[in-house]
Amino acid sequence: MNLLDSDISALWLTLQLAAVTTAILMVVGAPLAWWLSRSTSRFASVIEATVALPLILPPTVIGFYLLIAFSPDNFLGSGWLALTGQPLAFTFSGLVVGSVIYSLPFVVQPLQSGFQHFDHKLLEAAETMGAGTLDRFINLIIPLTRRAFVTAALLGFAHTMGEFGVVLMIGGNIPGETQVLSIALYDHVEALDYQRAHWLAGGLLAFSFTLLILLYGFNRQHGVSKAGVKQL
Amino acid sequence: MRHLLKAFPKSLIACVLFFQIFMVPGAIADTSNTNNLSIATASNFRPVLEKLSEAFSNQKSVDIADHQINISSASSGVLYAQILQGAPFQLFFSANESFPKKLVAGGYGEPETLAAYAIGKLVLVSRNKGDGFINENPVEILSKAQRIAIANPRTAPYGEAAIEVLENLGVIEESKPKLVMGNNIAQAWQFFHSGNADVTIVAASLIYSSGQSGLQQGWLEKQKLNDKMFLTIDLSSHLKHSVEQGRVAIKPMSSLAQEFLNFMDTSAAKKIIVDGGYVLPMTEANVTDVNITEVNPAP
Repeated sequence: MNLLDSDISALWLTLQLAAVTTAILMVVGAPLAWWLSRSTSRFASVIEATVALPLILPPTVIGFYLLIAFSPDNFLGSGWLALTGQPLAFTFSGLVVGSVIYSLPFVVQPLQSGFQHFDHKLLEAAETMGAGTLDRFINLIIPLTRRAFVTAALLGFAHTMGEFGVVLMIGGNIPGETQVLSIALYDHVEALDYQRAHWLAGGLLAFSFTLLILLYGFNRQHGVSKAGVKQL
Repeated sequence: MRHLLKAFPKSLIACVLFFQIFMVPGAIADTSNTNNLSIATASNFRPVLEKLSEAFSNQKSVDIADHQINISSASSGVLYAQILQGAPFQLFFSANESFPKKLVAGGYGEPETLAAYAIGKLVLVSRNKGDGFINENPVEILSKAQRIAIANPRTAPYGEAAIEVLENLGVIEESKPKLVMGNNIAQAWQFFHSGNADVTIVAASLIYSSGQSGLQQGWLEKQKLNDKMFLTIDLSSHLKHSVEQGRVAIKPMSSLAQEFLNFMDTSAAKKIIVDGGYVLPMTEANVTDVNITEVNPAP
């Protein structure tokens, strides 16, 4: 019994979704985490709480609100429709929006922790030597907090791979478009096709386990970090 | 996690307040009660079954003091799988006849309770896109649709029926990329209802339960939903076989389950089923009941 085409395309789709989501989250999450790690304003706790919300909210809450927001009757949905000619629900883009929200804390929190332990005197020193903002970020912050970056990227990727509830509500189970691995697995189980379900479930289990071993191994090798994965 | 812990004392207070407000004593149902009737139903029949349960419990002959009816709904295939795994249901209302038959064949169902209880109507529902033009041709509507919501054909008989209609109308290939599949027919309807799909193929019962009626009166009806005009077209004539829905009692059968099945044969129950958007199966008892056969719409 081999994986069928639809399972292969579900795997490919899931990897794409996880990669795109992680890429967006690293770009959006890094400045956000930096600001959160430095800000002392009251407003920062509100943002911090907002970032952490997907950790505790049932995915159905996010899925429900997204579905309402995606509807062409509403501002977001109609705006997107006017811009792209396609509705946002039941599309890959829609899943990316959902996944970015859903995996946000898994990227921002490790980064924030990493940044909190960053010695800011180094930045001031670099600044006096004439290094610009981008220069300081790329050549100073990223190398010195790379553990946090690796942790954030891996956790963001893995968590998106395991996404289920949100996709179930906004995906529409379209093969090749929104039928990710977890949904394909659910579909097999419901149709009593346990053999194919076993393939997908076993594969996901092995993947997640391997990824976490790599992550923890990396963190040990580079000294036990106060940042990142230990907290999660 | 540390970020969360910082907020812990405040969230604890919030939790306590929340529970004081919302935890009404006795709100938690006691499911261990032997006088509970657990019914599994295909999602399309849920709205009607809720009304049936209410009517059943309000009967004078039934001792309502100590019984409670719990309804679980999903696609028929999912419920079938759950029953095979030992889910504690006493009655199963499927959207087809084959799942109940299989349960009887497998020794899970009581053979003498196996029966058809309703014939579903498959309808196409589309939104008026605001151009004032109402198209009445299902093929054209399907061709112009962006998203067609159906139930997952792997587990839901109505999803299967929807695929059959698309095949019979000759639009299956062009429709395939537009199909969005709900876990069950209720989710397919919700995809449409929320505005995310512009066309859906569902059981008529779902439209009835959304507060719309009038489908009995004609083949074609323009209806109003959320202030958006929408249109329903009966697709039953494009199906080889009508959607005969079967039911069965799961072993061991309780007396309450038997009482409920007896109630299903009363004219009060039949009226609820017909009012809910179904046709009654052509059994002898139904044919002789003039009041009910009159309501059956001509194809």
